Amino acid sequence: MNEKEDEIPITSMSNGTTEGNLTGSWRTSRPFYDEKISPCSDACPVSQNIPKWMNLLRKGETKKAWEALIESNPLPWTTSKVCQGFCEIACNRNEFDECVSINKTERFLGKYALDQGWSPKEVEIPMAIEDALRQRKKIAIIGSGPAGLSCAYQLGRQGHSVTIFEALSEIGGLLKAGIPEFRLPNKKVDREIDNNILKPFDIAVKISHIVDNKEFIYLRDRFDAVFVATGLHKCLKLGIPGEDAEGVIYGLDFLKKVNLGQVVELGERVVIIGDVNTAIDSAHCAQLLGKDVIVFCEKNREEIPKFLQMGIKAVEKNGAKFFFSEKAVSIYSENNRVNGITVENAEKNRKFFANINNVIIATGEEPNLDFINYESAFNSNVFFGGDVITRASNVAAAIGSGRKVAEKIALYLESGKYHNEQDKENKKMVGLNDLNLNYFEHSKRSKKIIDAETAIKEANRCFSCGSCMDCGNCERFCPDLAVYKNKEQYDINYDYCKGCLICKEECPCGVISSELETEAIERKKNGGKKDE
Amino acid sequence: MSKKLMTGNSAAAYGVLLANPDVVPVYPITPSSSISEKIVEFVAKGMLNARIINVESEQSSISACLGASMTGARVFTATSSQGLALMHEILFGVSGFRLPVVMVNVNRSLWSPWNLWADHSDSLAQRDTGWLQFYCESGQEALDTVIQSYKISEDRSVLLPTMINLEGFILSHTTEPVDIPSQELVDKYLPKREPEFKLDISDPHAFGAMSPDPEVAMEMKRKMYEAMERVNIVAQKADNDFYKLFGRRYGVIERYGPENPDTMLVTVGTITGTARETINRIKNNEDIGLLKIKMFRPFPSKEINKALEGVKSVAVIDKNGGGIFAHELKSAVGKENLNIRSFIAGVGGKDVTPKTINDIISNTFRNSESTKEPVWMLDKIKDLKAPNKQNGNRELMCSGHTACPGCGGIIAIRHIVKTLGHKTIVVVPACCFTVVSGPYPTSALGVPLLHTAFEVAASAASGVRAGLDAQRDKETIVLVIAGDGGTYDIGLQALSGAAERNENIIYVCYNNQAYMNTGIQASGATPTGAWTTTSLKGKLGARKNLPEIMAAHRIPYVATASISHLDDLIRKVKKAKEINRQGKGTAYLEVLCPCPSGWKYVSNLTIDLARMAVKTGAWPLYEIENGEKRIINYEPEDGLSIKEYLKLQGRFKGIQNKDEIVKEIQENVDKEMSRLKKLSQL
Repeated sequence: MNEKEDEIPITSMSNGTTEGNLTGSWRTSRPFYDEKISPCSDACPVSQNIPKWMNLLRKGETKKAWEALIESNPLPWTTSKVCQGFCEIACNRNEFDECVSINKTERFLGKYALDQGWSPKEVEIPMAIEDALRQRKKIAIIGSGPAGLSCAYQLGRQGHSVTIFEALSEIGGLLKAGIPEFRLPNKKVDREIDNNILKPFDIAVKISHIVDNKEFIYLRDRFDAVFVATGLHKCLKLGIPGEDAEGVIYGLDFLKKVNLGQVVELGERVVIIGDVNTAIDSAHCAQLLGKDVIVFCEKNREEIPKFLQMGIKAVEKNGAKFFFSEKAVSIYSENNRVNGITVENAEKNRKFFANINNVIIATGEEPNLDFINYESAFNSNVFFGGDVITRASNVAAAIGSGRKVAEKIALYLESGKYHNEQDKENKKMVGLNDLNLNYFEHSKRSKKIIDAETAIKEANRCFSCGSCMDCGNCERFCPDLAVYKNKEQYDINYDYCKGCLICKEECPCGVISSELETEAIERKKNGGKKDE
Repeated sequence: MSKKLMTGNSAAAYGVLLANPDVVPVYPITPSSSISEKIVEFVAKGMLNARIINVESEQSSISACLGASMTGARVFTATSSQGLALMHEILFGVSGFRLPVVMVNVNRSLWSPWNLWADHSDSLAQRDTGWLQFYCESGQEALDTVIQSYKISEDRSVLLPTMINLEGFILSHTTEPVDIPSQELVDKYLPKREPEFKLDISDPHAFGAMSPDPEVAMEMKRKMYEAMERVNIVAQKADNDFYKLFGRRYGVIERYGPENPDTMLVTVGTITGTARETINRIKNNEDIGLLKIKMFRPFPSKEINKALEGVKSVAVIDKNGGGIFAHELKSAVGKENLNIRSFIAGVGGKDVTPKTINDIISNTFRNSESTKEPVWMLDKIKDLKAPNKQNGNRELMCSGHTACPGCGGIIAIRHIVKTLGHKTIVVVPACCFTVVSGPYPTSALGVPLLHTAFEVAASAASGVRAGLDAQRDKETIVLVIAGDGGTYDIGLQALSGAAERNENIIYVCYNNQAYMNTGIQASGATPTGAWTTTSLKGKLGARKNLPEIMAAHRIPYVATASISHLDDLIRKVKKAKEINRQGKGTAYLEVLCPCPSGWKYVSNLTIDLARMAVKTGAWPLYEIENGEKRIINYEPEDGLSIKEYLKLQGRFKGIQNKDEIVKEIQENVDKEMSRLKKLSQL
């Protein structure tokens, strides 16, 4: 015993800190960081992580925000132009005051990136992709619509070599051929596709190239993976008498001609049969060609989805007549040229309309997979996705599908498997009750996002449901200084955390969850996944 | 008679219940608080018809006893250690006025350093105040002695106050079976007090005036001395009378063991029990006897002399650092061949075990002469070392402190110290942070910290300031971190003095609205309707408005803050720092700090509660500059009822459905807000 060192001093004087007292032993509940899904991300058909890019935008990091945005969707401007905005409907802020203008903000970022000349090529890609550059694979994608393009983008940025085969003379599928110019200007679509997908990566497109049965088998054998993304191009027939008369055309065919700049001969009075997207777009286009338009919808007005109502109103305003709950039963022609139509309503009363020059049938489309023999489809390296499988008929869903297929292809190319052992845990979703609304003030949403300043202001309205927005509350309010920042992420020092759960209560975003300490100990013993 | 299991403190409280006092002033101090809490409970339940006074310090509790006793009422109070020391001046008054006040002192070692455990240093420091002193070793003895003490003190031939001592934690908090005598029998034993004189408007006298003739004073002192001499007989008679009615007796001393031993152990209090057991286990123990001294004042010289007849060696065990019982015994005993050995054991609360007793006995056997110096029963031990040393921790407060989970106060202290920086010296009176900041040898702060007595934080801080200034250091900030008890009540005198001198200090009161450290007793900061152990049905009346009191001193800066509004708090601390740095004078900051333990809510709501207090106006956020200019920092939400705040806390559960009280609280909140608004527009 060192006499002087070990001598008790003449009065009580501390010789160190309290840190030797590991107060973590007091805990009966333990908090942990548990990122959850926001309702907007959950509703998004692309499965975008919206809070992630919103939080970057919130801090003013516009470029980083765009880079996070294009992680999952290479065509943000295009998509947001035509997306219904499922995210905004699901937004938790609706119950607080008004939803965040996610759609317009995304649109702004997409355009801003193009104006600034940002390229996805500069973006760092997560996951061990360096290996992919060594094991560069060749992938064939049939169809250059949003699903095919999305898949090409994901695989291309991983370093693979992609060849897209497109039947039409234009790249983009329904983006350019199906959706009319006034809804989605083709030049702008091209600009985004070029800048974000085709230019930065090893992606080649063969246009006006129809893949037949023989070629399909060739592709299947010669490429490491094939993605069939041919969408829905076969127009549905009504199956009523007179349908094969001259002057009867189908909605999507009509739109393609119009959108690709071809001449379409239409008479003065045009009847549109159908109540889906294609029908409304066809009515619009016919009007733009100066025609008199009548539309027969089998549904009644209230049954038609909300996102089409605006289109209907616009067409009506321009003079089109809509008849609801009317089913077409027979088409009349003279000299094989269409000139009349009979429709029947719910009460089985029939009406005859004469003097019509054209009938555009637009009741929907179905896939055309004739080029694939039944047996040759069931090959390990052939993947299907997009509208061909989902029938979702919206751009966002197609992009989301293309992305998921890319994941599957990547996994398959790497391991030959189709599923990971640890399938992603089901993350919890965040409701309004999980948030601490004391940290947000009421504000009106910006309906127009015209510049970066407005975009950042709107991003500050985002509740960041389930994702950390780096407000620092947990760190500031911890009585035991047990919350610290570890490389941009917050973490808890369980040596000292007493489990008061103030951090969980004051987290505005509902990121922190808690469990009983006994459960945590049990879970660790059984080799649980959650980190310390 | 009913036998119940209870702690020593409870037993004492039951003794008080049976003695039926009229007035009980109350002030909490560990480990005596639960005596007062029990008595408050008796009154709340209607079992005892006494007037409780929640005073603001021990100086006041004993002074209130004095005042009440002078009207002829029977009074009681309880305290310990530091509180007893604070009473010192008044103790002379109580005995000088010949008032039969009975007080229980729960023995606790005096500082410095702070100590919660038992030794007799506190009561022995008061041995010359003219009070009788008894030392008990069991809960039963405590209960019985309380009753006997009133009889002795109120005896016409005595008329002197009595202090009954119970060792802190060892006796006060130990549970034993206790017989509770019936009220009837006690009433038979102890009739109503008939005062010799009193403050009486029908017979007016002035009490306590100075005599121009010192001989008068000397004679009065001689009378006190003679009264003290008579106590022995009166006490023994009271004890015998007690035995006749209740079947129990204690004597002024107690003998145990063989009739004529060669060696005698002399003990006081609970060490007696340990000694008894130890002697029982010694083989051939015919030569060892035990002498327990129960009555210390007056010292029972006659009885001790008689007991020591034929004894060759005496080992006196003193649970105090001065060997005082040994000294008194030596002076009292007139024997030449008696070997008196003095032993000091159990000081500071160190455990006295059978091994200690055995060692004392061996030592006495081995040595045949009296001790010249007392023998300290303490092995040499190594100093305690904290495993983590101080480093340049930017936070200036570290983890490992012992605050309750969810403590609001520690959040405030963390950010205040961080904002002020490392050029700060912190002064802390008795409060939660005294304990939370870490026991020896640790400290949770990265700046120097001085622990002071409860009532003098601002005075000690004034001293620190003066010392620094004298050594030409104007840069170091002197910061007081005090609870509401040490600010609103017992510490107000010192704070007021410092403010009057406009000392260059920052005084921060972290306000959890009660004496939390001692177990949730009401303070001057406790709001209307709040439950505490001394306001069981909800505090009556409003709390003090301390910010306004401080503003009346015209100090440069007064501000209220809340831990929910951290940016506002930090801004105010910076403002205070600037004022100090410029030498402009005192800055007073009061921060609302919710306390899960005392406010009765689940720990995760601490920030939420602080925020709700501000939103409802229960805790207005404002600043007062130079005592005149008031700035309201936050307007409470319009129409947000105080109920939204009250319903979140268990301490308001009892009054939540009492509409009149809730209405009163709401009205006072609204009135205060409206007053502040008016003044802010001047």
